[in-house]
Formats: sequence, structure tokens, C-alpha cells
Amino acid sequence: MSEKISIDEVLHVAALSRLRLTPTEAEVFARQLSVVISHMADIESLDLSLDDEERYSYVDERALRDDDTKDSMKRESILRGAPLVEEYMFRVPPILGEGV
Amino acid sequence: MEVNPLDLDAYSLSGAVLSKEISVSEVVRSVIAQVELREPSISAFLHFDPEALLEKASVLDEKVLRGETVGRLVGVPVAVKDNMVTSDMPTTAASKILEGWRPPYDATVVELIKDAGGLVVGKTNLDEFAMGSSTENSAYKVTRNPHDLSKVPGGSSGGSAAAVAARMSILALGSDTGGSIRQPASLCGVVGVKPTYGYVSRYGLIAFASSLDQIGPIARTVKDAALLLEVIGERDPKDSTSILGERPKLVEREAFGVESLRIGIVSELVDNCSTEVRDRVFMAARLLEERGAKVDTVSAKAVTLGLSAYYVIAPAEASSNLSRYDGVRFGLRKDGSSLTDMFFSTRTEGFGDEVKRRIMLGTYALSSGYYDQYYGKALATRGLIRRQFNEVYKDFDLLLGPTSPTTAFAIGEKSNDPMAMYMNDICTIPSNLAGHPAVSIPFGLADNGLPIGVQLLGPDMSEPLLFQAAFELERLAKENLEDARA
Amino acid sequence: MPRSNTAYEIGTPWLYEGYELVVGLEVHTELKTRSKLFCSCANEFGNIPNTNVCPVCLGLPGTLPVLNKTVVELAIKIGLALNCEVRKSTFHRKNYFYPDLPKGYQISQYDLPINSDGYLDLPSGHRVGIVRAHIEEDTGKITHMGLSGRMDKSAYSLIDYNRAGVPLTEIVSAPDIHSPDQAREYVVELRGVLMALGVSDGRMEEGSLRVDANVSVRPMGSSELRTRCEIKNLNSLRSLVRAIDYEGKRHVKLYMRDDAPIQETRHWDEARQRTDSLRSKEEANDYRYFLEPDLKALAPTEGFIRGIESQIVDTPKLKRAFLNESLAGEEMSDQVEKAIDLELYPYVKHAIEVGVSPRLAIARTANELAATISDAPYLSIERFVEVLRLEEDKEISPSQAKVLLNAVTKRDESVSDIISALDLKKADDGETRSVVETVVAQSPSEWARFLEGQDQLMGFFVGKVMKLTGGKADGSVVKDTLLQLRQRDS
Repeated sequence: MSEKISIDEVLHVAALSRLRLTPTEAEVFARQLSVVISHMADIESLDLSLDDEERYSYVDERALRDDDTKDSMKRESILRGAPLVEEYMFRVPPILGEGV
Repeated sequence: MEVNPLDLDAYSLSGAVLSKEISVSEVVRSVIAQVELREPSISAFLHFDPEALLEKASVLDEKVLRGETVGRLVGVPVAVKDNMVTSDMPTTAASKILEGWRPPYDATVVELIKDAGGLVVGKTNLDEFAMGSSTENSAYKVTRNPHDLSKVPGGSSGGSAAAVAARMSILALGSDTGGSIRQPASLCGVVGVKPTYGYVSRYGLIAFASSLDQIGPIARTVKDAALLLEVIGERDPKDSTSILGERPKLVEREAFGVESLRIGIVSELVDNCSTEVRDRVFMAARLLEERGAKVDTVSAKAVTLGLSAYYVIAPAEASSNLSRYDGVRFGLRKDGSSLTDMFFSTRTEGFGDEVKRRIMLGTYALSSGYYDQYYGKALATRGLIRRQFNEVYKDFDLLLGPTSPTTAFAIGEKSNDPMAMYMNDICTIPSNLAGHPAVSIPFGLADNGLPIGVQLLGPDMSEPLLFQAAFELERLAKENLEDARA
Repeated sequence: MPRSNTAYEIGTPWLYEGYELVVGLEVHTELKTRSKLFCSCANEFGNIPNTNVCPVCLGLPGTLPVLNKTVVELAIKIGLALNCEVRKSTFHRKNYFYPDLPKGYQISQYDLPINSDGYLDLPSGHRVGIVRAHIEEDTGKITHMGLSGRMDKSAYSLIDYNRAGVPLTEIVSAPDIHSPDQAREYVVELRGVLMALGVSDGRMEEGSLRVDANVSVRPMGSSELRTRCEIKNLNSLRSLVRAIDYEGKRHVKLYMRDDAPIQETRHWDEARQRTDSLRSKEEANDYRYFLEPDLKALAPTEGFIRGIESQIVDTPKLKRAFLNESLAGEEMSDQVEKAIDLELYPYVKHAIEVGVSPRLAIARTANELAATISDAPYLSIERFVEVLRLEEDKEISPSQAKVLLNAVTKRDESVSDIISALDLKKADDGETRSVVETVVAQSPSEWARFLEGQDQLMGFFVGKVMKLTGGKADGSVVKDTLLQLRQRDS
């Protein structure tokens, strides 16, 4: 039986998700995800659509936030949880040709 | 007479603390003793700090002595699932990626419990990021079912359910995305409530699937669950999906009874259960009928599609919710030669297999080319389920069914078969998809000595009616099932 | 704006080897609110890093967004000013990994933006369609450290999240722009609208207004849409003009070689005056958009929208219309264009409203006031109107009015004290008549030619009188007197 999701597709979604897989892992995940996706045949074949009123719930104007400021957090307590900090900023490795 | 505070319900305990019959420190000492006794074999907690607890207790005791206003939960132990952030305890969501992280703020529910004088006794184990039905997916430990240590406690709120069942806490908070409060409550023989979506604030709940997640109480009795839900059920301006307005009173529903309530048994929900579980549901129905309820079976075909819709929608939202774990601002970082390298290393080492599986499944369902086939269809199915439920609720006030298709399964039994594990949620998922409330109530033991839970489901904001019927079911279990008194 | 020295001449249509430009602009404007889009941190940045941050805008686990009501109002204001349809809208997540994006997704509006299908009319008469104007959140700021400071050669990077979560409106134009100059005109007009609405401070260099250009070309007269490239890093109107010109020509040259551009994002290199390709990621453009489950959809009521509409009084278009209507057909379009400036307009508007002649008010605003307003510590609307009234009532002459207006903006004295101090009282008619007679007597030969009908000598006499009176004489009184004297003498 051909798998619902190929090893290449698994590797593609893993890359999109910033996850590294060994060849064995890719194979196992492809097999497991194929089983799960095969189960979804029951909704894949449905001919259904939603109207907007069903799809969205609309916000009550009262639930919007008034444009007031509150004191931000003490910088120290924010930075305390950070893996690497320099000059009160979060430090990351060089961004090599990874522009968005 | 020497009373163990842990034998009391939350109501009586806070009363006893207020009238100075019992001090909070005594409560805490009982909790510590019980944890020392049971925790080594059960492993319900990820964080438990006896010294810090004793300090908190003495602060509360002084308040009580000075006659300061203390809330309705004064001195009552509450165990909190470790996916709700606490400023004074680490919060890990049972993931390596958050090991050692100290959140700089409290979840709204934690604030509400503290404001009510409640005592957060510790953080309980869960499936990593609440993804699972057995608590075996925790990166730190496997929690065991207090009724049988070779069995799972259910999940993902397995630590909370086990802590309450083993009397290491009186109350606990869980979160329920596809059954994660109700299924472990059922497997551990305690009460678990998933409120209407938006009833309890999600602010400070580490998101799994935002449109499905809801925090709710786990307790030994229906009344304690009602009390805790009254404390945490409040409109929160920090959560845009929080329902506006006041929440109804629940505890007062204790004596309302079920006279002339119309209760439906959804045939699609009982079809997939073990015979023993199904028989127990029908027994509950018969007993409710004897108390004046009008019971009938009803069909809601769309609920059978729930599992597929859920396993598209929940992973899709999860794949996005878990993108923030990138090693930049908090939590684990595994360094790399470049930014991308660091992202890959951090996430690859930080997440466990089930989390990776769901991230990939969700990414796949949302990626271009598959969106309409899976995500679009899943949303439409969700609409269909909600519509069909609302159709059914024209003829019925509440629905009755099983919580879990079977009693607790063995540790390791399903851990290599994701689909078999996912099937555990088949009875609980429809309520999350519809956004409706549901309650699991213990209804005796099976022949193997493990608890069976029955589930009551209702439409949006039907919590008062649900509790009314839950109180009745609790009484019926006590009167008719000898083992429920144990 | 300094004149471009590229081959492209400002103000001319763009045509290159038989190809025309097709440009659409995406303008991001930061909205002037007190707090951020989804949390209560102050909407201020540029100061000390990571001071205006909280768990929400840092995307810490467990946090949730709550929409700022004022952002909704400002976005609707923009939409109405751009003649858009304001409608039910939703928020989506745009998923991608980048360290300036705290949550790993940007909350934006995708298939249902709050504003759609509008247009902006440019002063030149060209109409540019507005496809959409939607709400989204800004990202943090990255500083590349070490070596050259260039992104691709840095040793590491530092991130400041003060700007993360600042509210933006992205305004997307239709590909209706056909020259670099039209692009400039569009941005200037749009900036004028945003500043007049009070929603943006419009500073392009500081990044509070950011412009990306989608550029393609096509054979002149064709209506096809060819492959476009998105140009980023346009930090001034000058780079906008030059980058569009450069990119258009690059496309034409490719087509002439039987080659074609590929759809991609390019970066304007200011130093080298060229666009460069940004290396694109393999999964580029798979943003996996889906409905943001943490926010509900927006359905502004008609009353809410009309309330906002009533606050809009001063877009460039409305200002232009007000001044032109006041002029009742008189053509002063150059001065009108100057007078609708954000700072100047309140003066001219008030002067006209209190009854000063529109012609005079517009002329003094566009010429004298425009020249002095950047250094006018003692200018007030009341003092401006007082000077105009004196001129209109012929208490002072036009040339005196110009001197007085300049003095009034710079001197901390009452208008009447300044008039006395500068001796600016207009000469009375009798005085003027005697000066005219003196001048006539002093220039017998010119007077004889004037009597013979050489009217062009009128200017000669008026000039002499003005000189002798130190500009205090009223020109029209001088002319009347000269004509009376000619009648008497001939």
C-alpha cells in the first residue's frame, strides 16, 4: 500500500517546522502519520462548507482594549529567562542568508 | 477526634480553617505526609516544594489569625497542571524545551486561586504540552494510576487526576483540549469538568490548540468541582475569547434534582465502548429515569467525524503555537553555527516524539496544497458537529454517554501506536469541537477494580443544569454502587 | 526633494525601449497610539532596548493578544479617507521563523481585511486604486554585530523587542502607477492623508512609514501583468524613485535579451544604487495562514463607522476642495497645493472661516506664511488674521502687510505696537495725493508722454511714489490720483 505521506513530504514539513530527523525517524514518522491521515478519509470526502456566521464569532466592542498604557515589565525579569543576553538585548547566532 | 484534613471536602476544610479548628499549616503537613507516602509510587508531581509550602501556610495562618478577609478556598490545597504558568514555581509543560524556566507572571486562574486563599501545592505531570491521553509523553516521568500502579492515569491531565485520587491534593486544575480533564478523571475515579469554551480564562495556559483548550476543575466530589469552577470562572479582559458577563451559581444546584430533565443517550458515543462501560451508562440512564428524568436514545451521526476533524485542527493550531519555542527569548537553547542551525538544534532536542508528530501533522495540514483537503474540511466538519448538537439540544436538555471507551489501560500498551492512543478521545472530542461543556462523574468500578466514568454533555453555558444532573448521578452512584463508597 | 540625477527626468512619463512601468506600492504605516496593538506596553521605541516589553509582546508561553480599540478606529479612519469599503474582517496568523518575530507568527489580516476597494486621487489628476488597508503587528529590531555590520557577514545579532507589537496599517495599492514620479506623488499624497488624519507621523527615514514597491514592465499599450519583483529597503522618496527606475530598466533589459525576471524580493542598495536579490528560502511563501484562534472577528457597526467618519475633516483632498470652493472658480492651484500643508492649513482655513477674502488668505499663506512658519515663535491664528484684516481694510498696503506678517511671527509684541515700531501706518489719501503731485512735477517729460497715452508709464510713477512714501502709499489710490491728474492736465 502506498503511504499517504511520503518520506520526502515528512522531511519537507520537518524543515518547515525547524525539526531535524534522522533517516530512521523520517521513515517511522511517515508510517505513523500515514495511518493517521488515512483515518481522515471520512472528512476528506465530505462536501461541506461554512457560512461566515458559522465560521466566525464576532467580538463585542466592549471586549476591545482601551488604548491605555501600563508599566512594562522590569527589563531584568524579562531578560532573566533569556538564554543569551548582551547589552540588554537577546543575542542570537549570525543570520546567514536567511532573510524573510 | 483526630481528623485528617485531606478527608474533608473543600467546603468543610475552608470552614474549619476559618473557624480556626484547623490551621493551614496542619493542612500542609497532612499534604506533605500524604505526598511522602504516595508520590514515590505514583509520580503525579513535577514540582513539589514542602518548605515553600510551609512558609505559604504560615502567611495564610497569620492572615486568618488577624481576621483579614480570606477567600472561599482558604487553606484548601489545589494542585495545578504544569501547563499553567506560576511566578513562584517553575513551569515546564512537561517539556525539555522549558526546563528550568521561571515565568515572570501568574496565569489568571492561579491568581484567582491565590486571591481566594487557595494553596497551590505543586505542579502536576502531563503529556508534553498536553498532547496525549496517558501522561506517558511527559519528558520527565510517567505517572501511575493510584487504583493500579501498572495502569496509566489517563491524560493529559494525568498528574492532576492522580494527585486528587491519591488524596495528595483536595482540588486540582486540568486543561481539556480533546478530553484531557475528563478522560483522566474517569480513569482515576474522580470528577472532571470541561466548561463552555470561554468560561474560564486561558491567560497563562500554555497553548496547545487555542480554539479547543479550556481549563477546568478536577475534584473528588461534584460539590468541590462546582466550588472551584465558581472561583476560576470569571470574565478576563486578558483573554479575547473570555465570555462577557457574570457566570451562574453552581454549588446551589446540589439539591435541584433531575425531575423532568430531558436526557438523551447518544448512540454513536456508546457504540464504540467496551460492554462494561456501555452497561454502566445505561444503568446510569435507568437510575436517572427513576428520579424523574425523561431519557431517550438519540443519534448524532456527525460526532463520529469528530476524531478526524480534531486531529487536523488541534495539530494545526499546535504547530503554530509551538513556533515560539526557538531558543531566543526563554527556555532551552542548543547553540548552532547559524541562526537556522540554532533553531533546528533547539527544537529537535527540546521536543519529544509525540509533539514532533503533531507539529508535523499540523504543518502538513496547513501547508499549501493540503489546506483545503484537510484544514478546510476539518473546520466544516466542526461546524457540522456543532449544528447537529444544537439540533439535538432542541429535544434534550443534556446528553449522557461514556467518558472513555474503556477503563485505564496498561502503561506502554499504546505508546507505539499513535492511532490507538488517539481513539481514547473519541467520546470527549465532540464537546471540544462544539465548544460545549461536559462533566465526567465516577460511576463505580469495573470487574478489574478500575473506575468507570460517565459523561454528561450540555449546550453552551449549560453548566448549572450539568451540575444539577451531576449531583444526582453522584448520589445515585453512592446509593447503588457499593464500590463507589470506597 | 532634491532632483534626481538619474536618466529618468522627474515629472515625465516613463518609457524605455517601448516598455512601460507597472508599479504597485505597499505602504506600512505605524499608527500613533498610546499602547501597542495587543498589549498595554507603550508604543514608543528607539530608546533603551527592551524597556517597552511584557510577556504578551515577547510572546512568552501562555500569553494572549487583546485588540486595541483605538487601532480599529484609526484603521477605519484610513480606510474611509481612502474611499474604501469598511467591512467585517478577521485576523490570521502568518507563520514563519525569524528572531524578530516573537511568537513565530505575525498576526495580520489576510482574506478579509478591514478596508478594501478604495482609491486615492493624486493632485495630478491620476487615480490609484487601493486594494486593501489592513491591520497587522510590527516586529522587533535586529542589530547585526561584528565585522562589516552587514547581515550576511555579521558575527552575531542582537534583538530589541520595543517595536514588536506596534500597530501597523498596510496599505496596498493596485498596480496603477506607471512612472517613478507617480510613485513619489502617490507616497507624498498618501503621507499627507495619514498625517492629516493624525494616525501617523509620516517619517520615512525613521521607518514609521515604510514603502515596498512591486515593479514589473510591459510593452507600451499592452494590458498584461508580467512577473513582478518586490523591492524593499526604500528609506526615502529619492530611493523610491531611483529604485523603481532601476528595476524597470533591469526588467526591460532582461526581456530584450529574451530572458525574464523571476518573481522575488529584492533589496535596494543605496550605496551602489541598484537592487539585489535576497537569497530566498526553499519554503518561501508557505506561510500556512490560518484564522487566529485567540482573536474574534471584527464587525464594526454602522454607528461606529459613521462616528469615525465624522471625525475626518482634513484630508488633502477635503482641504483642496474647501479652498477651491471658497475661491469660487478663481484659479490658484499652485498656491492651494502649498496652503494644504499640515502646518499651514489651519491658518488659511480659519482666516477664510472668519470672513477674510479667500484669495488674500490663500496668497498670504502660500507665499509669506510658508516662508516664515518654520521659525515663527510668536505666530498665532489670531495674529495672522489680524494682519490680513488690516490689509483687507486697506489700513496697510500689501507690501506693508508682507513686512508686518514676518515681524508678527518673530516679535513678542502686539500687532499695533509692531506697526508703530516699524512705522507701518499707511499714508492717508491727502498725503498720497501731494506726493503724487510732487513726483509728477519732478518728471515733466515722462508726464507729457503719459498724457499722450503711454499707459505703461503708470508703473514708473507708482514706483516713484512708493519709494518716496517708503511703501506706505496704497497702490490703487496712487493710480486713481494719477488718472485724475491726467484728466485735469489733458
